Order: sequence, then C-alpha cells, then structure tokens
Amino acid sequence: MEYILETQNLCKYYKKNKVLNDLNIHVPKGAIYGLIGKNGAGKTTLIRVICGLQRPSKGNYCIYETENGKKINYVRKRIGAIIETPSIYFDMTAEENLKEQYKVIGLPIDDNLKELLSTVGLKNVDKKKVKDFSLGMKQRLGIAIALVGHPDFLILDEPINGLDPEGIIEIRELILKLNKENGITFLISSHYLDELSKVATHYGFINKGKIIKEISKKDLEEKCKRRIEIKVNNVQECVKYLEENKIEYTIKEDNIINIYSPINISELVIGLSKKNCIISDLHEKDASLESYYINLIGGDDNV
Amino acid sequence: MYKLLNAGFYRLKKEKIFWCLVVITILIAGSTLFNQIQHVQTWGKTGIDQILINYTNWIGIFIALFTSTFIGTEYANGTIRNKIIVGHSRVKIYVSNLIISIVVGTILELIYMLLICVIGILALGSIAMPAKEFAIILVNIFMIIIAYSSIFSFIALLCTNITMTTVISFILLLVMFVVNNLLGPTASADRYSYNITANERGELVKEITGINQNYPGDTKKKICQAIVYSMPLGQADIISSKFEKDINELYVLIIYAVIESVVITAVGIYVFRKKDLK
Repeated sequence: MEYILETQNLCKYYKKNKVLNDLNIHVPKGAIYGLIGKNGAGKTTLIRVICGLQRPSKGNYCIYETENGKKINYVRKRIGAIIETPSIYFDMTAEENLKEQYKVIGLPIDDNLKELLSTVGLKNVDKKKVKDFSLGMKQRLGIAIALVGHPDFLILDEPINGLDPEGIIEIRELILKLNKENGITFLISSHYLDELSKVATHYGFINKGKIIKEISKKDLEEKCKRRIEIKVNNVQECVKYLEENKIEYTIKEDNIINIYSPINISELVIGLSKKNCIISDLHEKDASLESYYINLIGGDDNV
Repeated sequence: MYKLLNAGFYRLKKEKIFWCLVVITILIAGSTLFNQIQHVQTWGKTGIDQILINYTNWIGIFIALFTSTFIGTEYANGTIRNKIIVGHSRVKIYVSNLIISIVVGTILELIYMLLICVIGILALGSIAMPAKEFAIILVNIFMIIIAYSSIFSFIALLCTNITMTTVISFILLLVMFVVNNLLGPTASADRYSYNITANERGELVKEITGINQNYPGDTKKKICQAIVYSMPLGQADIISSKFEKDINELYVLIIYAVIESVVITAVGIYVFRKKDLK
C-alpha cells in the first residue's frame, strides 16, 4: 500500500515533557484519515511537526516517500493545511487573502479564485474585511487558502470548529467530494467523533503521544457491528438452533454468543427453550466510534 | 524567494502603517523645508546639504515601527505558517522579510530626499558638497537603513508576540539614544580645542585654538567610537552632524554597518531555522 505520510518512532520533547512518544502513523494514499485523541494527546504537535513548523526531537517522517531532510520542502508544495486556527490577514478581504496565497505559492491568479470561494461557501463577501467575518466564515476561508495550489494532501486540524450545522454539512460534503473526484488525501484531527465517522475511511487513535491503534473504517465497522449478546447455559444447542435458522453469530466466550442478524427475540427464546437452552442474559450492543474510542483509551490508560 | 517578495510587496500595498509612514515622511519634509525657508531672510540661501540628510535621525523609528507591525502581524495572524507549510525555507522567509524592510526604509528616505531636492533646490539653493562626498553619504545612509532593518527584523522574526516586538524595538532605540548621548562626546573628542564657524555650505568648521585639556585619551576614545560606530543611531548622528565630514570616518562607518548587518542576519537566520513555531 502506498502511504502519503509515514512516521518512524517520531518523538517531540518540550523540556521534560514527551509530547510525541515513538509515534508511528501511516496515512494511505487516497484515504480520509481521522486522527482521534483527547486534549493534550499530541494531535496538533504531530501536525505541526509534519508541516515543518517544529522539528522532531527524534525519529523521522516521510511525506510522499521523501524523508524529512533537504528535499522535504519540494514535496510540501503538494500539501495544504489548517492548524488550529485559520491563517488569514484580518485587514484584507477574502479575495485578497487568496491572492496573497496564490503569490506565496507562485501561481497566476485566475478564475479559480472565485470558484474556490464559492466552493467553501463564501460567494457574496466581496469587499468585506476578514476581521468582520464570523468564526465560521473565517474557518471556510482558511480551508479555501489551504486548497490554493490544488494540493493532493490536506491536513485539517479541527476543521469544523465554529461552524454551524449547515456549514458542517457543507465541509463534510466538500471533503468527500475532493476525496472522491480529485483523489485528495486527508488527515483530519477532530473531537467530533460522530462527524468524523461520516467521512473517515481510516482512523488513528492517539494517546499520550503514541498511536495506540490504526484501523480502517471497514475493520472498525466489523468490530462495532450492531449485535445481540446472549448468555446461555448450552452453547452447543444454541449454535445448532442458530445454524438451522441461518442466523449470523459468533461465539464470544464459553457461554456468550453474539448474534448479528436481525431476529425476533420471542421466537429465539421459545426456540432455544425447546432445546433446553435457557437465555440467562440478553442485551443489545451497538458500538459506535465513540464507544470504541472510550474502550481503547480507557484500556490503554489502565495498562 | 521571488514568490515571497511578490507576496510581501502585494501585502505592502495594502499595509496601513506603510502609508502612514509615507504621509509622516512627507510632513517631515514639508516642515523641514518650511522651517529652513523661514530662515532664508536671516541667513540667506544655505543650500540643502544639511537638511537632505537630517531624515537619517528619524529612519530608525520608522523602520522599527514598520518591521514590528509588518512581521509581527505574520505571527499574530499565523500567516507565517502558510509560507512554511507550502515549502518555503526559513532562510528565504527571513531574508525576504529583511529585504522588504530595507526597501521600505529606502522608499521613505527617497521620498524625503526627493521632496527636499525638488522644493529645496528652488527655495534654498542646490547641493554644495562635492559629488564624491555626497555619494559616500548616500551609501552610508543606505547602510544605516540595512543595519536598522537587520536589527529590527531579527527582533520581529524571533519574538512571536507583536506587542513585545514593538516594545523591545523601541527600548533598543532608546538604549541606543542614551548610549550615543553618553559616549558620543567622548567618541568625537579631539586632542585640540577649536573655534567653530560656518562655511558657505552652512557646515560648521573647526579652527584649532589650542590643546584640549579634557581629552579622554586615545584608548577610551577608540572604545567609545567603536560602540558609537556599531550602532546605526550613532552612525546616523555622525552622518547628520553639522560639522564638516571626515571622508575616512564615513568609510569606517560603512564597514561597521556591513559587519553589523551580516552578523545580526546570520545569527538571526540560524536561530530562526531552529525555532519551534506555534
């Protein structure tokens, strides 16, 4: 698999504080990689290091298979990023800010500028200075600036902060559209797990400066599948019944079975009781990204 | 670096502080000419030699103000990140900001000089100093602008807080002013006493009358000179002095300015490359 971003035992220390601790991350090409972690986990520090704002204390990282070194600045031209807050000039208009970024990158200013503003939902801002923008408008402009130069790797640190529900939906759709149509790879760090779960194709869970788990959406869905968990006194009879009725199941432990197919509970209870199989406990489980994350971090904290 | 300079100059056109400084410069030129023209009746036409270089005393303040706000805004808004993220090297970012500061200082100086020349020549008479001396003074002024720009760009790029940058820059100017006032007389002390008169160009000329009993000694004088020469404010004070200029001293000032600018910029680039940016 081709990775846009890889790190090898990346470390970052601030005096005695180890903010990144042998961090290894792998962002596949074409993915929307959701970076999830609590405050202080190291998400923003990781992004700052990758974007060249800070130097790693130890370890290495590769972007487009180019190691962090003299040549890294060439591949950075293919990156766009928003880190914490949008980087914009408050005394300029939205258009002037984009023109400034066009000049920084060295691109000619063309009609794409207006199209870019339209894409992020800043169509009718004209002469309005950025200092008079709402927080959501500033955030959108930050995304527009990150998109100047048609990057194929976008790093977004909390991109939906300050956006209204409509704005959140627009940004979500924009991310999905850019990923699907333009093949742009995304690295998104966010606290909004529910929102992230609607866009991400891969997840990286970070805690205490370390990636504790990387998982694709597909695998995560497999782990978090909605199921009914039953505790029975006779697993063999239960399994026979489920097999006869073509019900999808897995045996979790000696006497605990997870059922994945939709079933009629009453029929199940009656059917099993006829085979002298008694259900002593039954409950529905529906693990979300949130519960998966809580279990993961909670488990890690207890190690 | 062309891209960074292009972007910087695009931003400069919209920078309020720059246009305020242009207006202030025009006002300074206007008031200088007005004051001088008032004295034409008393002193006659004295030429524009002295007033042409007086602006050098102001330029440090304006470069400090401009650099601290122009570069400080990059940190305040976080826009310096945009340049690093897209792959511009720290060296290029540093040097491009320095160049913009030098260009602004030069523009302000040229605006002043142009106004003085255009209006002053008609009202007060032409430049009387020899062309070679005038050329060397112009080089000195340009080097003073570079030295000031180096110092204040150093402060602005390494101090991420716009308020702190402005405060530190002006404190430094104040320190230079105080040091220059304290050490300047010793640095310019002479072995001999003089009778001072004015020549036809309005410059003060010294005529030896005897031995100076208060002469501080060569060593002390050289130390004070080195300190004064190493400060752009000290250099500006010497350049804009009403006394007849010593050509050799002007060459020495250029060398000091070059060394100072190179060293400060080299150290600044080194530190900036290693700096963690948030």
